Amino acid sequence: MDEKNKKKRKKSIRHEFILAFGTVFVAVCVCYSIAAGLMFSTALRKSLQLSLQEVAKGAADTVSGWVEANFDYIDALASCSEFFDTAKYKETILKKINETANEKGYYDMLVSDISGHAYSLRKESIDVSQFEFFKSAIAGNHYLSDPLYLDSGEMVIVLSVPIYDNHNELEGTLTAAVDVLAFSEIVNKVSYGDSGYAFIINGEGTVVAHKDIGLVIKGDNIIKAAENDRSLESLASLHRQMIGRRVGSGSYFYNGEQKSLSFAPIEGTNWSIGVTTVDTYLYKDLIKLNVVMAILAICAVAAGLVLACIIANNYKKRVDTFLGLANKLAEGDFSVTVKDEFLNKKNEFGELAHAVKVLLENTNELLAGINQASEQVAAGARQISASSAQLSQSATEQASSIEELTAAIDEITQHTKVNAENADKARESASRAQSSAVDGSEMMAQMLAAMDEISRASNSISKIIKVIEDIAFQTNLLALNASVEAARAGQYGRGFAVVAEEVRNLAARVAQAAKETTELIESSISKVEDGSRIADSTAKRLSSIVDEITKTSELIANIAKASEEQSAAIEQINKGISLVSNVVHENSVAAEENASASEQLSRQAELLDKLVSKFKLNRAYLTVNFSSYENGNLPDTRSEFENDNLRIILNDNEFGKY
Amino acid sequence: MAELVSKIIEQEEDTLSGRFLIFKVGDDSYGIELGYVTEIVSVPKITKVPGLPEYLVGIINLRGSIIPVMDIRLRFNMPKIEYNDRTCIIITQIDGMDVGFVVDAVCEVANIPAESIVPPPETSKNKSNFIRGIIKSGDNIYLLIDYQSILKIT
Repeated sequence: MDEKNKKKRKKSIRHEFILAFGTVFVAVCVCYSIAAGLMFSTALRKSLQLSLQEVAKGAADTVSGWVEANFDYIDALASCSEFFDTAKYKETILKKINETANEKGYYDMLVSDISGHAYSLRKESIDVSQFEFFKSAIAGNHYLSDPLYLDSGEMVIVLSVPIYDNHNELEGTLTAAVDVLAFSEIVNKVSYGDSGYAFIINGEGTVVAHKDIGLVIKGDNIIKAAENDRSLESLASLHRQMIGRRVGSGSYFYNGEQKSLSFAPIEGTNWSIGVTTVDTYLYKDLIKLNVVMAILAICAVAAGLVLACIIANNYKKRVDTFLGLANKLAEGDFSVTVKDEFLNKKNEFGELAHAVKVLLENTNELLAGINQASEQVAAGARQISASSAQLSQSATEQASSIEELTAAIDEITQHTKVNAENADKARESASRAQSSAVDGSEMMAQMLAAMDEISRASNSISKIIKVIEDIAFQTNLLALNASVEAARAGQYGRGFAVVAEEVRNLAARVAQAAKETTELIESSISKVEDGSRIADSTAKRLSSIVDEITKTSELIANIAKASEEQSAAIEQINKGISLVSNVVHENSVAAEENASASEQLSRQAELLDKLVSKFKLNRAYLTVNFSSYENGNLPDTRSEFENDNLRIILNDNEFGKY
Repeated sequence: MAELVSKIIEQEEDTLSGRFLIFKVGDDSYGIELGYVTEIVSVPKITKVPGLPEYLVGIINLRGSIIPVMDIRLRFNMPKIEYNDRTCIIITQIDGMDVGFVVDAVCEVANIPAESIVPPPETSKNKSNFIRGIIKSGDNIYLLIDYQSILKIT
């Protein structure tokens, strides 16, 4: 059946299939028939040989039994008292042996005394002392002879036993002669089938009993004959086994016939009995069997061919189904589905159907994925293209910006240098201002000293004026006293009174002037004090100005230093910007390359899209995302890929998933 | 003009009558008849004499003469002030007895006609015991002290 999985195409498949199947059937049947025939024939032969062997064994037993029985009989006869004296009871003995011979069918019976003087039913007297049977029997043995000729021309087999008297003393021998024909009758009773017969050979291989009495008479010996006739070798070897006293079977050719021979030794003798039969007997059944088997084989082949036809048709149908499916697949139609009747099958078709189903699912999934991916790639490529162009533009803008930046930085560098120079100048100015402020401070101190001098001088003046005031007061007093005195002097003091009045007026004027001067001086002193205070605060201010200017100077020095550092930093920035400029340039180039690459990608994606769109896909794989494919429900409806409604819309979360 | 007028008046009348020494105590100006005045001096060392009223501040030695000194401010129940360079003592003589009056300042010798002198306003009997009259001189008012009542020691 497994060979039927190899599917062929069209009608020739079936023919090939049937041919191969038929050939195999025929071959198997023929082989089987031959093997069965051979086995049957072997088995038959073996069985035949076995049964022949049984027959041989039975025959051997029969012969052996016959011999023993005859010996027993003769022994029993010999134990009769008359035989103790053969001469004395000759009459009685003859009567008895005659009875016995008649009863047993012996050809003759012979009684001898111990010396070999004998007589028989057919002979009055005979000396048997030289005969083998006598010698053996007188030695106390039972003797069975090979066929031997009597004087009368009869061929007989003799059985001799010793005669013992009551005292167990040997008195003579009793011998019975059996006609070989009679003996052969015993053997001839043994038969097997139509053509089977038995024969006996003695220890030398000479025939003792045979269906063909002539052979016995002739004393045929196959072993000896085989020395001259090679064709008898197979039989001779069997005969050798027989004289080896073995039980066995064998086949041989004799007179152009295949024959089987089974043999067994005969107990109590040195003989061996063989049963032979022609194998044609055996082949009769075999041929019948073969004929039956051939008929059966033909029937089987016919039945097998019919079965093969049916199975082939059946399989062809299934294969056609899968072929149709495969053709659709070949045409790019992946929307087909596998019928459930296939899926439900438990055999390889079921597995194939499952495999095809899985293949379809996978291919659908794959193609849908490729489809989506190609769309995504196309979209992505477009985006990349757009963004690359933008990037390129941005890079260009960046480059121009960087140039502007460079120019601006150059300007800044210039400004920084100017700054540094200005800072230096400012520092110098500040130091000059500082020294000026210090000078101012000193001047102020001098001015303060001068003011102090003024103040002191004013105080001196004030004292002097005080003195003048005092003098004026005193003068006034004097003038008043003079007035008083003048008034006392009456008419005589009138002129003096006038003078006194004048003096008093002068004193008043002096006092007035002194008072005014004092006021002036006091105002001057207060002014000087104000000036002093102002000068003091001015000095403090100047001092603080000096401090501030010192700080300012330090700050300006710091600014100058910072400007230098700035300058260095700007130098570095310049270098950095030049690097950035290079990078931007490279970026620009890369962006352009990107743009062209993405253009290419876009075209490739469109090509891919076009290629994939040749495949018809199952709608289930186009309308939903892939995670839902696991439910395995594949709608039978076919989807037009070109339909825009069936485009897959991916949200941002799923972006990059494929 | 005043001088000329006074000259003319003096020529006609007694030289001492109608003449007053004007001095200042506090904010007010007082006048005293020039006839009582002998001298005006600065304040010398004043020796205190125990057991006298407070306004009798002590005695001075003026060219060998021992003269008692009265502080007009205290006599007039005005607050005491420290004496300074400008504080003067007016030495007066009446009935051969010299008395010094401490005043804040001496102003001038003035000729006052008699019609310019009016009695003080009679508001109460015992008040203004020290004022004998009021002198009107131009826009100014001088209080004419009652020398006798000032000297009366109660």
